[in-house]
Amino acid sequence: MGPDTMTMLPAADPLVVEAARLGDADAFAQLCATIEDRLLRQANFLCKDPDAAQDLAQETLFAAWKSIRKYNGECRFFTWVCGIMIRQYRNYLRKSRRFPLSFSWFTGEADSHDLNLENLICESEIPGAGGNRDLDTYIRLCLLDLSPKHREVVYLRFYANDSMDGIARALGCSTGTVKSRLFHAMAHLRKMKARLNELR
Amino acid sequence: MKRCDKKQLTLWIAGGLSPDEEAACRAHLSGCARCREDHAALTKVFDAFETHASALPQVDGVGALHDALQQRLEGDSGTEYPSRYSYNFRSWLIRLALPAAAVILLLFWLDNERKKLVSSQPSIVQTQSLPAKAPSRPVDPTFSNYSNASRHSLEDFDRLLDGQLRAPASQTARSVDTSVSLQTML
Ligand SMILES: [Zn+2]
Repeated sequence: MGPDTMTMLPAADPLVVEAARLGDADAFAQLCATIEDRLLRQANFLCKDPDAAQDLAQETLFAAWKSIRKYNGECRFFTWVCGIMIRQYRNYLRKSRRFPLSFSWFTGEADSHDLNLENLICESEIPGAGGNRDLDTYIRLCLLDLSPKHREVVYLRFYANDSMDGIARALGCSTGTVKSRLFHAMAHLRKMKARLNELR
Repeated sequence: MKRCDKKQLTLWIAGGLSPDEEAACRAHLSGCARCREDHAALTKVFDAFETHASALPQVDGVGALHDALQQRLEGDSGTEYPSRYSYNFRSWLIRLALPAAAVILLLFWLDNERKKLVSSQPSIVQTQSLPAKAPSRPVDPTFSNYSNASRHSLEDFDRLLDGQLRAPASQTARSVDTSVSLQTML
């Protein structure tokens, strides 16, 4: 078990990026080789299942290939791919149907309360057992309890470890929007932490 | 930061403030117990995420992922932009296909019926005589009109048929009479 050091990945070679953008599959595979390990670790955490994680990571990379021309190099390649993965994760959640669904969940405007915290806790191990599994569960509950847009920002801030500007470019919105979403998400997570403590 | 500003506080912890803004936050915090409390609570949440993100365990299957991607890339025709135009064109084509097929079938069937009607009534052309009671719309049963049958509606054909099938006996007799008189003349 090696730690996933959050050191910044080296910036992708612009020539390789350009070749990939022009449809060179080998160049794209070369770009992916630098991020596959980190991506799969994150997919494994999100899905809690190695097979589902493989699928999620593979679908993410293939979706990245299909839209590689949209990647303009303004943010790190890894941040951009993470942005795709957190959106693919939503599809995975819909398909797995492990959680109560609502119309707003389908339309993408899900309120954080659509995924009821109490229900989520019932389906997961209750935090408090100690160790990494405890933290894993707590973080997963936090992400699932956020609205999709807030989840994207929180996920990219911590798991792609990019700046506000980088996150904004990866998501195609303004830095102000990212800051605002992060603020609301963190306020929600802070309240959630208190609720989790009460439920324990 | 002169007043309590939770947003600035959050962005400070997230590393989203300029050095000047950070300094203002720090100055405010030293004199505000409420913001210190908020800061401590938010820092715990941030720390939890950062600790978790930095220690995601290694997993097997990176090689399998790479191979699977390679395979899919080899079998793929290339990158694509989802073209709004081509998508719309395709979706319209699909939506129009069924009604268009239905209309073509209907036209084909109508044309077939018309042909059947025309081919089954050649004698009308030769023997049809005017019905005793004139139809509301005059029917001219000449060959030229039959050859232009497509100009007539099906109603015209119905009237025509009615005229022949329900013709009074006197009319039939009259036509027989005509043939007899012709024979005598010849
Ligand atoms: Zn204050």
